[in-house]
Amino acid sequence: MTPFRVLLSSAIILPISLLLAAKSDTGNVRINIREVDALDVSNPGVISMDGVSGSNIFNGTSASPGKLNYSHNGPKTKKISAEVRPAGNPSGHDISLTINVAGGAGIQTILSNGNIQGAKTVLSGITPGKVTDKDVQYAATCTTDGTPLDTDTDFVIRVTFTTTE
Amino acid sequence: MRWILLLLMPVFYCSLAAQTPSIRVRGNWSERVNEADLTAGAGSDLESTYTSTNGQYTLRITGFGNTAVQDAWRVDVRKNDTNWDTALKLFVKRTSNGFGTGTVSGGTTFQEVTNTDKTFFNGSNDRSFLRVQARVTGVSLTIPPAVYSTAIVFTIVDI
Repeated sequence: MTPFRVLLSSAIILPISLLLAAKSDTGNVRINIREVDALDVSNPGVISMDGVSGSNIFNGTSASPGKLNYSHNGPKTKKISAEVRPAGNPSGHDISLTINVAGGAGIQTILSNGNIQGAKTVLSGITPGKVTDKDVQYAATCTTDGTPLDTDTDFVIRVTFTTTE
Repeated sequence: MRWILLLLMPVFYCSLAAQTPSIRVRGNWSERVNEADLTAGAGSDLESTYTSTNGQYTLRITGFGNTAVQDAWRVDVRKNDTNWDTALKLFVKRTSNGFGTGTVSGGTTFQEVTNTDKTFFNGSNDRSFLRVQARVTGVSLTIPPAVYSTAIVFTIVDI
């Protein structure tokens, strides 16, 4: 073997040896932030219907408002809609129900003469972050002709809230 | 004579490599953040701070020998981002002294890791099983959902 070959083999071995002795090494950090879309609306107080003098109309507002709390981190703004679905609307009444979320879209009718009115936007343009303790006020009207108030019946109407982009 | 040279060369180089400062890191950290991390459910923000186990990363430093003669070194740390949000802050701290004939000092409180090298801790001679803990702060709902990743780069410096 010539000296040239010796040097050549050495030139190959040396870099390999030095590579095995790295001066830096790494450990990875991975933070997986998942989509957050958490909505909670508490029940309002009972709406007691009182008669209006000189008519067959009864009306009332919730004794205390519900509270809306929402958190999201979506890349787009979100909106919240409210609706009464068929399963949440008992039969045998002509109640009209409105909803008003503080700082939201104003008064929205979600039940009219006992008929569901579809989803209504109650809060929109919600940027990523949190919405805390927004008052949710309800008001209802009905008539003695369409709603058997004389039997002291409780009507439980379920309002469903949905978030969308 | 040539044959002797040829046989001695790898031995010489291996010896040289053994004396070359080297650092080895074992461990990776993965954290998942979701609705369960809201501080008080809907209407609240996400926990902002997440901390790894105290031995998430284990470091081994070689090439400085194990004799009574103290051969000093320093470990620098930085990060190399793959996908990282500027609101996220990364910190590390050393949680154990490891084993070895030399010494080790510093780095026992969380210090921020940036994209430029900063001194992490110092020591001498070969040390193994040096444990490191990581922490991420700044998580909030304003950071879009995604996988954020970076590499913590530990560099051994012969001083």
